[in-house]
Amino acid sequence: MIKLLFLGWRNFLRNLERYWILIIATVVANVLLFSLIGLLLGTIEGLEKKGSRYFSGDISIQGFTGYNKSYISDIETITPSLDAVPGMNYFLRSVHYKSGAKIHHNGKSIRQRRYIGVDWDRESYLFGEKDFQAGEYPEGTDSDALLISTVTARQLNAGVGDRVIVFITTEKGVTNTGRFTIKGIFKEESFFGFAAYMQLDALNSLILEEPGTVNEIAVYLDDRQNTSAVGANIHSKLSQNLNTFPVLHSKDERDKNLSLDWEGRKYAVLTLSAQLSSINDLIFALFIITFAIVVVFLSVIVIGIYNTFVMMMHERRSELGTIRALGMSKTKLVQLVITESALLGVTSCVIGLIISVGALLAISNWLDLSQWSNATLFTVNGQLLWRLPLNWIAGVMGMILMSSVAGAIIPAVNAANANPVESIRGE
Amino acid sequence: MKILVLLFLISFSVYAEDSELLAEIDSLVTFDHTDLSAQYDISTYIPGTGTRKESVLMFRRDAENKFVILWVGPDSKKGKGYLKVDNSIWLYDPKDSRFTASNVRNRLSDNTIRISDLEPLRLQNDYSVTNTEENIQLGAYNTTLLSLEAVTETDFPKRNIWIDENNLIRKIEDYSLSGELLRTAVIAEYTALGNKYAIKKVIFVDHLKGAEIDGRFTNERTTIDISRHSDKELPQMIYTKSFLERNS
Repeated sequence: MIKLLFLGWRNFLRNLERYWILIIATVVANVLLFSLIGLLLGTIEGLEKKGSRYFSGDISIQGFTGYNKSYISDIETITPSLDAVPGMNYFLRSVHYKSGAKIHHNGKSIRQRRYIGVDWDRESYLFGEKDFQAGEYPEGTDSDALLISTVTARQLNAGVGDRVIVFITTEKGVTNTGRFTIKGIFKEESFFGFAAYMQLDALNSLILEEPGTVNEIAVYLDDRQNTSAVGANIHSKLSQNLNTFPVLHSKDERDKNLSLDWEGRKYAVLTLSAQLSSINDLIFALFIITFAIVVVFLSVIVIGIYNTFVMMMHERRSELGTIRALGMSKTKLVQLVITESALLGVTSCVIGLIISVGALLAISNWLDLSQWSNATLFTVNGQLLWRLPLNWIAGVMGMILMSSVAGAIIPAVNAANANPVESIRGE
Repeated sequence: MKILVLLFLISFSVYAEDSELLAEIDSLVTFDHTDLSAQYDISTYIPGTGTRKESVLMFRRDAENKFVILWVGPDSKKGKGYLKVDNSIWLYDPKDSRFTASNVRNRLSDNTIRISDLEPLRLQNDYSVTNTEENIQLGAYNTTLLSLEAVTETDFPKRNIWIDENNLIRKIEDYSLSGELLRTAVIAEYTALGNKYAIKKVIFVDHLKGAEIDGRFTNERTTIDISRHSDKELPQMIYTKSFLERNS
């Protein structure tokens, strides 16, 4: 095997002149594949990050007594169950989600999709320093503080320290307002709609709820890859003490369950993926498009390698005939040619990966898409995110390697089956 | 004990008096035996942007709690309309020929006017009087200021209204529950139709919207000029979805 690899490597280097165009072509294909997949995975991660902040965490726990707003009343029963689940943090939140919500400042106004009431101290770690364009995260029981997004600040022409009027219509239809001070402006293009954060009981007072009212429990996981498993674990723990809906896969499914005939209080466990079900189709479509592009690229690689190897085997028929005449078996010759093509694949993969990472770093650092509102879905703070986890790198490399080998098989078999004497004579 | 009974009787009589006053105010502008139709020319002055104009026809049958609002201008909105029947409100959009459920609390257009502003007043039903101040001069009118608090779920939890000697409202201030002044309406002119009154001109000032012009803050202002008033009975078919569809 090592001998074969050595021979293959030597032949590969000797024929580098013949290979270089093919190397360039496969490197270009590799760069495109790695970049495309890196950007797709980055987009999905960005979407999840935005989603988990906008909705209540990676997993949201909601409580219902009918087809109405979520309220959590059995906090003492729920929290021990959550404490028993490892790898996560949870926060109690008050959420107001009703049309007509607006923030006014100096004659200007902007609609808000959600007001989120939080415990400043407990949730501080969710907002890192880099998340703020201006101002800072409030502390303690600051009931005057308001956090707004960059877009909201821009539209209101408001800055940190400005007083704004928060306008809401309560669940019962009562118009209420509150004056708050902008404490921080967090970077968000608000793809899901604009959200503003205030202290939990400041929001409760505004929406005429009792102090301490909690609408949702937001669960944040240490590792987002485990969302489904942790969601199932939480569901199973809650089900031991409380009435719960079955594991839900979408908000439609939750609404369907809510509309059924049932009594008492029931709890729902919604993973972020269930909250994002409406855009999961979009993510799926992006995956399909990416997959189609990958298939096209791989086909181009297979065809390119096949054509090049047919020509190359013809040009090298004298050399290959000599090797056969010296005693190398047909199988060994096929293996030698395939090793060369595999080395071609590996070389182009490595070069392609290095160039891709450089290109992705450049794109994410220097390309500012913040002015392109249509790009909000794909950007975080106006920049494209990218991710290339090792398993995906290995997967892409594997596919390219297989394509390189697949393209070389037929020319290799044909070369091995040729008569050595005729090959040596160049016939 | 006698003092308590006396206090109860006094407060009850004050409450009854206030309630009667609100009923009188409502009654003057409610057409409960006839229909009311009129054209509303609405112009909204947006500081720094300009003035946006639109016109709607209003058909009201207060006794049956029905109305139809039909846009007649500008061209981009022509044919759009609201229909209220049996406490359901439908918005008709001629662009896609569809009716969608709406709410009287929704804004009529992108200004401070709510659909409910075009409905008959229901002060007696929705509010109680918390304070009364008499002899307040408001322009040419000697008015009484009534401070109201909502007893039902209405658009504005708190209101101040100024009524003239004929119990016609001359000015309204609408507040949020926390006491933020949201808008002011000045009713500049009424027209008499039999023993009832219909508004001819009203100006709304939105206290939350506006812009600084030449260093001075100017509020967004919406003026409604109401003309072609009629209290003639209208055919029943006006208060139907097909009326809106046919006139789109």
